[in-house]
Amino acid sequence: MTSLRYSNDKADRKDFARSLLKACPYSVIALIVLLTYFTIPVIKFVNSDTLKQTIAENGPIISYFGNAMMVDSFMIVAGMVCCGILTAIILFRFMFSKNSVNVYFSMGITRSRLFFNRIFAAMLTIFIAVTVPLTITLFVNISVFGYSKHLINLFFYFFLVLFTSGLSGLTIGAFASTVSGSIIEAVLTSASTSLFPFLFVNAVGELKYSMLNGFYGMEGYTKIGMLFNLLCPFTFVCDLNVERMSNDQSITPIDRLSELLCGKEVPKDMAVDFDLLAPLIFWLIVSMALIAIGFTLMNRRKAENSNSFGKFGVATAINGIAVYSFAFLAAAEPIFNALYGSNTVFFHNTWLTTAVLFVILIIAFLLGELIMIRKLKPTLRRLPVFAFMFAITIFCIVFVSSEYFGTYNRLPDTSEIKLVSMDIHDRHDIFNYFSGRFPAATLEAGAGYSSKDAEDIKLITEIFNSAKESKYKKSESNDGSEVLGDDLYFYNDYTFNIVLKNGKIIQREFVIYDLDTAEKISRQIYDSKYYKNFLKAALCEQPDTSSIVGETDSGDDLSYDYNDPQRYSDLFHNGQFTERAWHYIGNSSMYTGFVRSNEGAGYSTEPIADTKALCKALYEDLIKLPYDKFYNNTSRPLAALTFNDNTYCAYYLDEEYASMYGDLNRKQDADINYGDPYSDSNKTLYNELNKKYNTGAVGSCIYIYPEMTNTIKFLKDNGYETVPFNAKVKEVYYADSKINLTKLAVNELDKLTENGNKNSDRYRYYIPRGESYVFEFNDSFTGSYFTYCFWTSDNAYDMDSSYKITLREMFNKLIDGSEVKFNKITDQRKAEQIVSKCVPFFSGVTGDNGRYVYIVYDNGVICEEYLPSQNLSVIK
Amino acid sequence: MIEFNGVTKKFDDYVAVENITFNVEPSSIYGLIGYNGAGKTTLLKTAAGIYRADEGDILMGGQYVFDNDDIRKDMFYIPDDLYFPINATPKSMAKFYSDYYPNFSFKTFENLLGVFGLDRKKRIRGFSKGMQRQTEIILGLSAHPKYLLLDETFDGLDPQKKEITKKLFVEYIAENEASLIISSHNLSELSNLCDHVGLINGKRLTMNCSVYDISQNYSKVRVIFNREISESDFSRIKYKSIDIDGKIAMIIFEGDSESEKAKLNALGPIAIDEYQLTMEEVFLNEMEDKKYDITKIFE
Repeated sequence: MTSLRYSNDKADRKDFARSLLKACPYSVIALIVLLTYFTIPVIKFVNSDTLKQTIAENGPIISYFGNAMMVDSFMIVAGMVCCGILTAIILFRFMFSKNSVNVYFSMGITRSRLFFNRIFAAMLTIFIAVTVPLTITLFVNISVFGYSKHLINLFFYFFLVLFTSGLSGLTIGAFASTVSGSIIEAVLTSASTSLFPFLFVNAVGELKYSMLNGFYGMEGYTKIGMLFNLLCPFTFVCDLNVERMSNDQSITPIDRLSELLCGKEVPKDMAVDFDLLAPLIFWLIVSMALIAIGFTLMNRRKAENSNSFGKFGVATAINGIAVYSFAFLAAAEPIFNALYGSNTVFFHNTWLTTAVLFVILIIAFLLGELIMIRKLKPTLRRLPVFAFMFAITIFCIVFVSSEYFGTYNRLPDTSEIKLVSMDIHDRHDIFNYFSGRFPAATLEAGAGYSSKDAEDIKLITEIFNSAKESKYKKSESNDGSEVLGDDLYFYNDYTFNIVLKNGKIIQREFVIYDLDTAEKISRQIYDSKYYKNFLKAALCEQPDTSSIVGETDSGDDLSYDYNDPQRYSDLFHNGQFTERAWHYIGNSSMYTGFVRSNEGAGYSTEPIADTKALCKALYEDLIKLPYDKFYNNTSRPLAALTFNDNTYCAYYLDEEYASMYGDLNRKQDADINYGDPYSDSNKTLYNELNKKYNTGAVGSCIYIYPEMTNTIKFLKDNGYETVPFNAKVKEVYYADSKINLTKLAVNELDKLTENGNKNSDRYRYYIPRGESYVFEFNDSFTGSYFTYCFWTSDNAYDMDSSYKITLREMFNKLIDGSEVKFNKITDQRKAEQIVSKCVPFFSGVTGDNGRYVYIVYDNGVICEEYLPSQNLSVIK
Repeated sequence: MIEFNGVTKKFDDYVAVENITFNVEPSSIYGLIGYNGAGKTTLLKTAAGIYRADEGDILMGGQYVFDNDDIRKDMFYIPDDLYFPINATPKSMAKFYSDYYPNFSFKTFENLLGVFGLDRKKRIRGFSKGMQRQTEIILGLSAHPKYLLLDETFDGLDPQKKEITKKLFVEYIAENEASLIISSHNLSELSNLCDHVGLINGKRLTMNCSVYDISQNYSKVRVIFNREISESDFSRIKYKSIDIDGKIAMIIFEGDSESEKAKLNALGPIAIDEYQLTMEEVFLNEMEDKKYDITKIFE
């Protein structure tokens, strides 16, 4: 009795016409909104001077559809979905009243026709609502810019996005109506159904780091991410102007969309990017499926359940699962956060995870079902749904916890491996992430050194497995909140390239928060032949750079140039170490950080001539230097060698203020765009300043310790002596915790931000910048890492005649204004004793529980240094 | 013809009607009788195709009814709870039904509006309950259905309108060879309308016969004696029920009662008067079979 056979044609036509009238209101609203968003701005644009200006600046315009879809994409798409849902509920609301059901289900028209007439009528109104504004926009474009295929592509893409969104809402609403007893239940069920993709994407977003351990940062992750986007055209469209646009601010949203639509550049390749259409096609298919399900359920609908709530099993199940899922997301995250300190460790403890999920499930089920059904006995009849959800939960947990999950992270037998390489982004480098600086510790990374040696293959596969097993377990002591920010942790990042003999390349990246494991791996690498060979290749030899062409397990071709100097270049900016401009930095520089523009800083302005001999000496020292002397050295280095010859340089304009925690413009609430730091004009300016202030351009450096006898001999043989540093320590400040001034300043800024303050207020915690002071904070190094903002402490800045502050005043402001008490040592002997135990690098960010120390010299210089935990006895 | 073949309808675990079987011939009016909650409405909604029978079939003109537009365009169901959109008028409802019922006659509609004295342009929601029901009856008859299903249709009608409606139904059925099922818990409303009645009692159809058969099957006799009498005096007589008040006894017989009446005469009464049972008395007698004595409720 559910066939589409029909004999009452007149009734069919009339019912369709009636449905069409009823479907109109929301589509008319959608039409008006779309006209306002699409058509009117375009008409205004083509009739304005902006067009001429845009053409003058950017060349001829192929088409212009306005920025509505880019700027308000979420609102527009969500609006279309809501329009579809509301239209469906309006059309099917007769099913929510017993009285109207009596009439409609007994009239001379089948349920099938009642269903399809409403679906088609709503589709037609949505189609018109979408097509009219887009068609007008299309013709406006054609009349102004002429016909182009690109224009048609844009038209159809926008049409598909808007129509599919409306259709998705319509079919979700229709499906929900067929399984609901009342309007409230239909709205709830629609919301639950339409939110499931978001829920899924969010859940995946929460879990992806755990689920995709190893894929993180790799192309496989991106590919899987694209798959998730299939589920949700809404987030995909939103991504257009959020994530995808963020890389290049100079490209307008419409340009970016054009690129995506046309594959390459407009108008060379007019092929529409499948990635862009895939989620739309997916949702068209889902809509069709929902129509089929809705049709089936309409025919099976029990009319006696109309005007009820909670009597339809499907709706109750959907809403119950939605309640559970939301409860899961809402409750599980804080619970697991409290348990593990991070929401990325869902599957750390299977039994505990299961127990917590079970409790959430029971509470969510009972609450959800009882609210909907309101009676205990019928609620208990819903136990099969409960059992289903529980089974799904258990399955997910077991699957993720089992050996079967993570198959992609299993390496084949070492006999099948041709070549291995790995990079380590060590936690010692974490600060680099913020500063852009690469200190000596980068050398331990291995820098992607490739080896075919069987022993190395064995070692790297062992490390691979250790990294894989570690997952996201965070050790108790790993708390970076004081120096990195709230809820931030120290971690090591390992990237592996395993080239198999069959041509496959396994690329994986693991992030390890477990510092014990990270430490173990670092020591394992440091003491290995693999690392020593890397040092030799990097410092003394021209490594083998032959290429291997293979295919990654994500299916992409990859030309793998192992030991390519470019790989080192990527890390160290300028190729082989022997080809660098090496500069010598005297000990005094490491205290003062060249802060006195007229005194020099002990920096060798001319690069070291014999870099090969220098690198050889370094190699011979480094392979003998014990791990703890390299990483955890608590004694002051004798000097440093820097090997960068270009570094970041930026212009700062009036009204711009800088600090370690960012830069701002006082009068604009916008980020500062520094432009290209490597532009010729910036380089020229930088070189001039370099000479004027004798600062040098440093970025990466290697500390020289007494154990490095070969290097010290080389330096002495080549006439490099340290410049005496005459300034005396005047005062020393330190807190009773590991907090530093940067964190204090950030706290103060956070308070201002929370209180609604904007840049016009916040700038008072920044140091003014201007044309006279073009040093970017990266210019400093070693001991002056954190002191950049104090480097001209004698000067009062007077950038806009309204705000003057000396660096000492800023220092006092932070120290005195802080809720944290700072100990002040004025006894010179005691102060010098403390300073002698301080080190100029960042043991603090590695998890060491020492103290940040602020040293005020009698010449006005203020330095931030670090007192390692081993040396804390000096302040006790 | 409307055929009910072993129809059972359940609501989850609750059985509303069970194994109902009866037929309604063309040009026939079938009265469905039963106390409140007996299952009359459920049965009618199942017949109208609103509910799907869990067991058994309902056929009209030899075709299944459920979701069959071919039949339903010739069937009109007037429910107990009427449906009119908020701003509906008799005219707009006529337009609405005319879209779905190909035989809908606006001439009939206008004629019937005249008979009942209703304004076609007034909002139905502003009508009294009785007027709303009259409107639905007008619409139902204007659709010219072959099958009319009426649920408590006389509820709310004044006596005059009831009589008019009854006459209209009878006339319509006769002229159009239509089949009509009407349910009511008030026997007196159906007594002079139906040619067949069915009694739903305890979810089942406990009685299904023509009104003529009822009158033939039951007889009521009043017997007057010149002495005080008791039930033991009638021990040799087979009767369905007896009510004794001093010297007078009211006795109801079921089936052929001639021999029993002869035995009554042998008891020497001073007078015997014979009456025909009303349908209401038949209905109450059937109910008594279920041993449901309401007098005991308040003991």
